Amino acid sequence: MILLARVLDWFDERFPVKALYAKHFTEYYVPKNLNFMYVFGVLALFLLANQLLTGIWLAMNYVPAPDKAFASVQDIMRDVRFGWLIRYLHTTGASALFIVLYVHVLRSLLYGSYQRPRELVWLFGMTLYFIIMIEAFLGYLLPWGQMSYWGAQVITSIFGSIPIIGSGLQEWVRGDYFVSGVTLNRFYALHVIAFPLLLLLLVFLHLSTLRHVGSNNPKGIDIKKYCDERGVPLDGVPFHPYFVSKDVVAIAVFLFFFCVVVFFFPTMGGYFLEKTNLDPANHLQTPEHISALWYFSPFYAILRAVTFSIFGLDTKFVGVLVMFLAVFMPFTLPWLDRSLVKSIRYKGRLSKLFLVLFCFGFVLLGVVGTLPVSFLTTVVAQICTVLYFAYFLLMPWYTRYETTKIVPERV
Amino acid sequence: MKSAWLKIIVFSLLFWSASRALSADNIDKMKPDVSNLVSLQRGFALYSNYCSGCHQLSYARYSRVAGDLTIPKSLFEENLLPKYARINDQIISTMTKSDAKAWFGVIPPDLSLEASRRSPDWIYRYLQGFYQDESRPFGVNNTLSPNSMMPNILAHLQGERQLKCDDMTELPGDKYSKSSLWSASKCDIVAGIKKGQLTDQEFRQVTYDIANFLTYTSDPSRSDRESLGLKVLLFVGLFMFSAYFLKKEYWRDIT
Repeated sequence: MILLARVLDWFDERFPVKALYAKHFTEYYVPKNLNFMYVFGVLALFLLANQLLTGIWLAMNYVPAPDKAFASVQDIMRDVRFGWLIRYLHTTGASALFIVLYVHVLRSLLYGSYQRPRELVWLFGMTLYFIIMIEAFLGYLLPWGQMSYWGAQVITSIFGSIPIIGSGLQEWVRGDYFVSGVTLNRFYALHVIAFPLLLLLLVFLHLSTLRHVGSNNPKGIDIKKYCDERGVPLDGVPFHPYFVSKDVVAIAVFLFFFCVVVFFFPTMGGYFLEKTNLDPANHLQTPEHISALWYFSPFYAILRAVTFSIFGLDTKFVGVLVMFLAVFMPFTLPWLDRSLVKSIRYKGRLSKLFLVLFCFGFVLLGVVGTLPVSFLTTVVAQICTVLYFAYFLLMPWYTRYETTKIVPERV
Repeated sequence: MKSAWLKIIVFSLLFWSASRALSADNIDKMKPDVSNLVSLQRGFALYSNYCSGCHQLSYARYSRVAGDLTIPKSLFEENLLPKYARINDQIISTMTKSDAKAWFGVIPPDLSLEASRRSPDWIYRYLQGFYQDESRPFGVNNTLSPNSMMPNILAHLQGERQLKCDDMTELPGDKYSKSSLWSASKCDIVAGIKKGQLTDQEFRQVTYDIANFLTYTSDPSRSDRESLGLKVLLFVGLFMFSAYFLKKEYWRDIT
């Protein structure tokens, strides 16, 4: 122990290890009334670490070549020791990360965590979500199955719908006239190097901005208003050991359900791993029904909901614009919410109604996004798209004019 | 908090067992059982005799199959390993791709993942679904996959089968009337003139064993996965409770 203390002192003389630890763990105060919705951030971090680690081991055996990629994945599943476990942890982890992120974002919407002074936390968080979507899309091409291939073909064709520069841009993204081995190689490079680095940077920014302003809480009360003589918030408790011990419980409970899926239902009925991806990619044979992965399907449904053109623009291009607008919309949230209170608990009826409609619409979009196109799915998708945008675009109005309840001073 | 989690766990277990019980009621559906090693061994023997000439299991290896199916190595090498292969080889067919193209017009699909791509039940019914159809190159057609190019390799076991339809009027403009009549579900398969070597019951067992074996090859790690899974869940469960009590201890003084 004496040796350990001396080593620590040696470091502390050269870099403020102890002060840093105190600032971020033992003397970082967190509102004591955080509920279970607040554990999804740490779960996302946990899953990201899982993706990075299992990804490294997958990359050791995966071959990013069009004639070998599919077989190398089967090699991992069969000939690599515990390869099946590593791959299922990675595939289940991807879907689980999106589930966790959707709850994490819902928490922010419920308790107004995007409001002043946490706008930057929100912006970095939304950027993270956007980058994770691209990362997932890039990774989905790598197994080189039919759906990998045609999904990539459809999504990269989005660039082709842009007027004038479209076809050139599409070719530039694919590196070929269609999705090919060239595309596979560049997607692999981006998936394993470029985007993970970007993700780490953004996670650092997201967490450091959060640490600077502190966590919000279900009541939306600023705990820094009431401090004792030492400047410690009266309603705050130190992050360590209180929230560390709580997060460990959350990780354990999550891990239990996660392992149930990994070990007993790894394909999750075709939602986490699709049957249609068990055929090797074939660029001469288009599948009848190209579906998006479940976590993209709300946005895919919005893309397909646009069946009309405006201003003489191509219908597909309008759809792409609306889809990107849907992804971009949450970024503007801190400036759309004019409410005097943060938490949904003190907001008025209209805020509650629009949030419920938004969630309902988003889930329904996710459902119709996985179904083949029909008249009914198109109509449902259109109505839900309107609900989705109504939540954001009408927010400045309904948050301002509704009557809010009085927020208590203390937690 | 505690009771909520407990409820979630209890309900998910109940739901799981209920869904399993429901699927057990379905009589027609083939229910694979990859823990039935005897069936898997018979399935592999049948596969070697009837399927492996044309089809491949290119992602599977002989040694792995021998090990997983607990077939002794010497017995396996003597009886089940083809003369051209070594025990650590992948299970490939003798027919070349160009020969396949010339003889059948198509390359027979690799069966490594067939049970996952379609379903074990699909394979089971496909193998039983052949009937005589003189309009086809091999004189047989299939109810499940109309105009399939596969000959009925098990015909001598099953015997000839005839398609019997209530209404034999041809559908307008249809090239392959019989298969489309079948899809309109007006037809039934009945025993043909030539009898097979096996009874219906025995033949069903043959197709079951093949489908069961292919279920195993599509996901060979399953039994390892599930037995490891139980141990992992036990560990995580214990860890979960100790972590919970630790948290409770820390939070005791917070009001």
